[in-house]
Order: sequence, then structure tokens, then C-alpha cells
Amino acid sequence: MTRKIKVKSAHGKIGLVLILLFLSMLSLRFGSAEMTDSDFFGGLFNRRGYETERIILLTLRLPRILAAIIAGAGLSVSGVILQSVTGNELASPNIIGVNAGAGFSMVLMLFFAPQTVYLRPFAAFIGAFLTTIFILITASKGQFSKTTVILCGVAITAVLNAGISFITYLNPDVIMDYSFFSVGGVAGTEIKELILPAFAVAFCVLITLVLSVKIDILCLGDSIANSLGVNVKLLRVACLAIAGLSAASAVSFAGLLGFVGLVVPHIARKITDGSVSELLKVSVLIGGILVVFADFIGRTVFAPSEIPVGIIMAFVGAPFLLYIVIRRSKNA
Amino acid sequence: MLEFKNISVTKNKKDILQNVSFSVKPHTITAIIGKNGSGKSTLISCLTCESKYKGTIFFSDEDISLLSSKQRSRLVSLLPQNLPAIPVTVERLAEMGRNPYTDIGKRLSEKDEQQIEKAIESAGIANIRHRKLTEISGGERQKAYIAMLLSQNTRVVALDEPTAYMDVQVEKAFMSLVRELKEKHKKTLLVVMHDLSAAAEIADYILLLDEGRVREFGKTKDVLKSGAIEDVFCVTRYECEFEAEKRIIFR
Repeated sequence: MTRKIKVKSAHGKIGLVLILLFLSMLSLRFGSAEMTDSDFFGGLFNRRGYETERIILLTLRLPRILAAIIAGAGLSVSGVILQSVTGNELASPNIIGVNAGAGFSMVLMLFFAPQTVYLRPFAAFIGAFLTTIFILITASKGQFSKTTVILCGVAITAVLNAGISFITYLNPDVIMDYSFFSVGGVAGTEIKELILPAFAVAFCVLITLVLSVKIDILCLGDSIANSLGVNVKLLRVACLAIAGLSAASAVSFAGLLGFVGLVVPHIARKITDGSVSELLKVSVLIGGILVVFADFIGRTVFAPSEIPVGIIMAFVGAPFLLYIVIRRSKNA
Repeated sequence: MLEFKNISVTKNKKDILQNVSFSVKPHTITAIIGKNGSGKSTLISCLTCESKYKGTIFFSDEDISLLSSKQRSRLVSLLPQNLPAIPVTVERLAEMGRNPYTDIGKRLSEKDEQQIEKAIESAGIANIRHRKLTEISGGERQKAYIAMLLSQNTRVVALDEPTAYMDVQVEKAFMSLVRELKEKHKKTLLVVMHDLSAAAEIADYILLLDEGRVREFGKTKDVLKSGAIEDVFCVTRYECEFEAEKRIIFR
């Protein structure tokens, strides 16, 4: 039956790739600027007289679709790793301080250097990643147990959130820009912004695939992992750093996009054999699909107005979270 | 020969184990018994260096604390009390047992595959090999983990209260599997046990711990004769015959 599951999963992955391609095409085709089929293909294939359509398709819509795919993949990778190494189904990039770190860094940037718009993605990335590292250093005092990591994350996140509130209290002008960042969205993303995050997410996926067997073993608990020759502390630190890097890369251009890292691994678990490598591959695809879909809905349903993808994700993610909680309590 | 020499463990400024010394002969079952908090689980967790200890554990005259985690995991395996039910298949769990023999990112060799097959067959779980741990019963899960141990193929196997959550029938089947590990697979077993009668029945040697110290260690019949078990646990020993076999019961 494992073979059957694997085949099912292989078919499933092809199916997911096709869904992602279909949604991407749909997202490219439709938007607030209406186009006929000939406008669309004229712009897509660079025909003379369709320069405006070309700009809309390749400079506005395509980067946005790619951003959605990379953000979805990056946050999902982070979610898969975090849920596996902490043994907590409700773990998401928030618990390693990604959102609070990026948010605090962004607020500092908006407060001290509001005009340096081009530096904001770097500020978000550095804030998110440094917070993850800081949480890891703090957790090292408690032997890197699952509980220590989670509690350190909660405490440091609380301090950073207090910092955000304090700065926005000092300078209320910061709130407007910060709220756009905190909701999360991929509107206005440029291709050049995506190059580094795309490489970082790809690197994280590859490293996690290489480590997937060890992560599977870590899911059996520290005692068994130790007995099977896994260096538990080192692996946990490496995994948390990878999770931080992956989520920080996504947050750098997509803002504090919630629920993706939490929800996607749960959906992926339904259609895989449960091993981390399968979970990871499927989660990357589902993450991309989910964010592309949410972005598509957000910019077409109320066109020409737009709803940021983060709001749509919250509408989808929160009910799903409730479903998980209710299902868990029924099974308990 | 596995030898524990002056093992002491301190956690949160509390002495959990104090100068514990004993040696285990190959292909025997040593039951580790003692009241709650006497340091039984801590003692076997020293074998995998999960607990930091003072003193030395020798395996064939080699200090196991000087081995790399991978080298150690080829000699000693440990099964804790709580065996998690995660959504991986039984076969996948048995594959994980080969981790000490495979490098990062490398596939399993043919020898690994053969060992996994043998382990699944020996544990008697070929029929459920493709089912997830979350979908099988507690007894089956226990067998799945035994398959993982057999796949790991270490000479020393430590089990921490393996029958803690089992009903009588499953416990009996599991105990015969433990016996098989010694007799058929030539393993040296250290088993933390809460059931004194089962320990008396299955063990070749008994180590009785009392407040982190060795109260008694020796051949099962000698430890039973010493009266130390009755003293530590405040129980009475009864001997009876059941189905032409002599049984020892503590009440």
C-alpha cells in the first residue's frame, strides 16, 4: 500500500502542478484591467500594438503571481519544518518570531527612515531572521527542548509586539504604512525584489529535502532520535534556522501573510504518506496554489478595488484553524 | 560485556543516581526494577548519552561516551515508554532503524533493505507494513517499534517500561517477543519493568534500584531469595504452580 500511496502522491503532485499552472494563467488573464482574448495573447506574445497589455501582463500581473507562489512556498516550507520539529500541529512561522521580528524592524524603519522605501524588504528580512536566531540563542539555555523553543518564541514575540505598539504610539503616522505591511499582500511587487527570496526559498527546500529523513526521525521524539544516532540539538537548531530563513524571505516582500504556514501542512498531510520529504514537496505546491488563488480572488471579486491577499487568507485560514481544533477535540 | 562503573546523575541539584555499578552479560535479559523516582529510566538513558552522567559505561572495553552518536547507535538502541503515533507507515518506521548506517541524503542499500525485510517479518507485522502508526492498535504499534529496533540491529537493546500501557494479552505476547529478541536474535537486553512478577519470570538478572543506588544485583533467583524486593516495595512474595509452571507473584 505504501507504493499505492506513493503513486497516488506522484499523481497528486502532477495534478497540483497543473492546478498551479491553470490558476497562474487564470490570474494572468483576468484582473481589474479588462482584456479580450486577442489583447491577452497580443500582450503575452509581444505583438505590435499591444504594448499596454504587455506592460500589464509582464510588469504588473506576472511578478505578482510569482510573488504569490514564492511567498506561499516559503511560508509552507517553514510551517512543515516547524510543525515537524516542535511536534506541534499549531506551529507556524509566528512561533519563531518571524512576524514580530519583521514587523518591529519595519516599524523602526518607518519611524527613523520613512523615505527609504527600497530598504524595507531588507529590513523585514533582517528583522525576521535575527529574531529567529535570537530565539534560538535564548532557547539554547534550556537545552532546545520543544517547549523551551515555543515559550521563548512567545515571550520574545510579546516584547517585540510591545515595541511595535510603543513606536506607533509615539508616531501615529507610522500606522498607515505598517498596517499595509502587517496585512500582507503581493501587490506592486517587482521581479528584482523576488530574485533573492526565490533563491533563499529554493535553498531551504533543497536543504530540508536532504535532511528530511532525519526530521522524520526527530518526529519520533528526542529519545528515539538520539538512540538512532541523530544529533537532536544540532538538527533542531538547523531546522529552526532554515524555517526562519524561508519565512523571512517570504515576509520580506509579502508582508505578514498569516495562516499559510499553519494551514498548508495540514492539507498536505491529507494527501501524502506523512513523510517530511513528501509533505514538503506537496506543501510547496499547495502553498503556491493557495496564495495565487487568494490573490486572484482579492483582486477580481471587487475589481477595480482590491482586497489584500492577507485578508483573504485570514478568511480561509481562520475557519480551517477552527476545523482543526474541533476535529482534534473530537478525536481526543 | 556491558559494564556500568560508578554512574552518577544529578538533575536540578538532585542526585538521581549515585555510584551505580553493575555489569551485564551478553545475550541475557536484565530487568531494572525500583520504585517510582528510583532512577530506572535515567539509568538506561545514560546508555544513549541522553542523560549526562559521571562515571563510565564500557561496551566491550570501549567507553561509549567517547563514541560518536552514530557509532553508539550501531551498538545500543533504546525504546522509551511513550511510543508516538505519527502519520508514517510501519515500513517507513522500520526504514528509520537503518539511520545509523546511512549517510545524509543517501539511499538505503540492498543490505539495508534486506535487514528491514527481516525485521518486519521477525516482528510479525508484514500484514500491516503499509498502514500508518496512527491507524493501528497500541500492541501493533509496539511491534512496529520492535521492527525498528531489529532493523537498527544493535547488540544491546534497552526498553523502558515496554508494557506500561498494555492489556494482559498484549503484554504476554510482547514478553514472548522480548524473549525472542534474546534467544533468536542474540540481543543483550536491559528492560525497565514495573511488573515485579513479569520481571521475575522473564529476567536472567535483576537490578534493584532504591533511591538512586543499587540495592541488589544478581541472578534473578538470588535477588528473589535475598528478600530485598519485599523490603523495598513492601510486598509479599508468593510462589504458585500454574499449568505445571512455577510462578512468582508479588502482592
